[in-house]
Amino acid sequence: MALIDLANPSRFLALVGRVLPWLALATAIAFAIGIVLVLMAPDDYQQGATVKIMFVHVPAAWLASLIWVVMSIAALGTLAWRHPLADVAAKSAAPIGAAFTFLCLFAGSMWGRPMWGTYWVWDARLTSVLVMFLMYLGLIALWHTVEDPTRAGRTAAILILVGAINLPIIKFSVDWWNTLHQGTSVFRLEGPTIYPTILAPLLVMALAFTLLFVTLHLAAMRNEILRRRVRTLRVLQAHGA
Amino acid sequence: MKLSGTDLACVRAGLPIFRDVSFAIEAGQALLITGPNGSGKTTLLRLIAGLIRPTQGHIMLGGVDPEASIGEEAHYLAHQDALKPSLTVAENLGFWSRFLGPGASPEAALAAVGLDSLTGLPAAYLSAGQRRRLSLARLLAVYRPIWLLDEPTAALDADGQASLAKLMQDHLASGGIIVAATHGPLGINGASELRLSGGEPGCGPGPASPSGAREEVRGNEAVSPGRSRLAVGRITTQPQAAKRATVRQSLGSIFIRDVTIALRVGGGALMGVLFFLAVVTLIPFALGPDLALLRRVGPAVLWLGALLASLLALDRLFAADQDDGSLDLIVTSGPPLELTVGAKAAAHWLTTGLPLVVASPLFGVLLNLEPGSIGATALTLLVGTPALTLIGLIGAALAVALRRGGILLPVLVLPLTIPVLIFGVAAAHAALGGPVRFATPFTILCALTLISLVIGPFAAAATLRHTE
Amino acid sequence: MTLPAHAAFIIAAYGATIAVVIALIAWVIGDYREQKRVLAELDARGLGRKAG
Repeated sequence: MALIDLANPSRFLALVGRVLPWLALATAIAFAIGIVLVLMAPDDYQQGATVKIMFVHVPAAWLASLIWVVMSIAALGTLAWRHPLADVAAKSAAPIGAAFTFLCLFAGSMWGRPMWGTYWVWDARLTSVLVMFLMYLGLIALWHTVEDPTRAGRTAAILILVGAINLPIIKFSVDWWNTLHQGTSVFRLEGPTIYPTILAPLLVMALAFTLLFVTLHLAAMRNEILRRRVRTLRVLQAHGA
Repeated sequence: MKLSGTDLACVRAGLPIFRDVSFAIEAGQALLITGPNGSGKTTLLRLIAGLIRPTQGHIMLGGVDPEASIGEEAHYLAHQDALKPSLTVAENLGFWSRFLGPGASPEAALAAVGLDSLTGLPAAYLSAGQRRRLSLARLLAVYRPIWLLDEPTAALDADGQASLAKLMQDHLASGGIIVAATHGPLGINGASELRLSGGEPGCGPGPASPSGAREEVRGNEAVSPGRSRLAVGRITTQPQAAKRATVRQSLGSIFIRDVTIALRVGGGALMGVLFFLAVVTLIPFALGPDLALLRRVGPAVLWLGALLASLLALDRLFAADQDDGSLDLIVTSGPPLELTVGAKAAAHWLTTGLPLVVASPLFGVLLNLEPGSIGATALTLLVGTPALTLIGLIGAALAVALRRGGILLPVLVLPLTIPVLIFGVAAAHAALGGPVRFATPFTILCALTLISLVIGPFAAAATLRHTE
Repeated sequence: MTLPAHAAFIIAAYGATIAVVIALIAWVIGDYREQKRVLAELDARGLGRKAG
């Protein structure tokens, strides 16, 4: 089956139906392994067990940005190629992205209070993630306010691409500004600086979260396609009567 | 029952619309108002409905409950359909049934107009003809003796017009009265005709036409006692009394409808919270990330955010109802307008103000407030946001009266909210100790809310009533 | 078992994670069921009423 077939909603639905159970299973396995590794990981010399919050905070943060990247690609699909599933992909991803961003902020707050004495600071990294959370919510509000999915999709696509400017700001904020937040530890040109016994659970949890996103995203896209079918049928119903 | 108008004249925006219009109709009779566009047919109907006051002359309704106004005895079917697009066919009709009276089952009315297969369809998907039929269903669902119809056949196909003619005949046969503005025949037998000639603005009885703007009732209406009238049914039957809903039922139906619409797509619930978050996020960009400073100004920032979010969300409150024609029906046919306005305010606060209160502790954490401060601010917001909504009602009503929204209305209303802001922030600060006891500004805040509970709806209702 | 220091925060963080994940799964499943239900309803009407 060629990639182009994925553009056909019905084929896409069939594909999702076949693939989803396997993805869900893979997600569950990844989380199981991840939890085990988290429990086995040693406590940090300075932070104690609190460092284990990192295993949810950091993957959530990565995913928050990754989902915006996925939405940006979808937005290009809407604006440049008019792909029929593009705005479905963008709309379905936004609530998941908002949820992970919230999780990142909350877990980070729970980590920050015992470690650095405060639930929140307005430093560059935290503020730019909060701004991204705000933008996620704004996108969801846009889709929730405009009735016509096509018009909403195009406006949202522009906002997504404009908002993508926030991504490099988030990534490099800890380098450019003097912040309370920790500097980059994993995605560095020289290689990660984290000790392997901490790196392993982190990467497995990140994989688990990513699989969770893919599973949820495909399921949400299926729901959105069904929702649009309902809308079309309703229009036909009105004309028929 | 007799509906009559004597020597009616109407001037709008300084231009005379018509003068010396008189008519009299009794139970079982229909009056057709005809005339070119702009001759004042709609104006005359709105005059009878009680939405406009005549500059001269008066309208009288004899033979029914003298306490009732015409509006309470009549259905007014305007050009607009008074339908909410996000509600389904059944929900739209169900609302009007509950609001206007202990209606007959809406299902029967929907079947009579042929929409019973579409009950679950949101009204946004209906065609123009279907919308008109749904509006007609409202006339069938709740009984009112007088029907005021403005071009009822507009958008109806031939079948629809035939059904409408039958419905009107049935209504007349049971002793009702119909006054209809129309361009063409409606298919009712024996209706009288009142022809408005229009003419140029400012004309009086012109020299060229003997009648000019002076009109008379023509047709088979002129009878002397003893002569039989046209048999349109049991003409000696008086119409049934209009059944009206209890005040509580009407208010409840408006409250539920507004909450439902706010929660659906396009409704805008929770938008205020998003704006609130945006304001809170903006402040540290302007003030700098100094946590000690933010802690000191935190309560004020939260109050300002809640104030702006409340006011900006209000200007569509009545304007949406005005645009689709619901406001006319609510003003003329429902419970006292002050109470209805209060019910809408309650629904608005529940979907806009209360979420602000619930979100404020979370935003308080962002501003580095201590728990005592967060609790105090949330409590003052809980008591103060209703005041903001109630005072904002005045702006919302002005948006209808002035037919414009935008920034003007918050600007007008902001000065009125200043006392609430002052005492709200003062109470939040006082809760943390200091020379002033918490109770002092807090009780004043409560008093302000209670005062606004009276002033807001009364001022808003007065403004809405005087809108032309 | 002695709880680690700051246990409340660790529990809060993981608890929130579990809650958010469950909420997302519930949303996706619930929405799916709702759309299927409405489609079935429209389908029944579509088959029941032929023309007009």
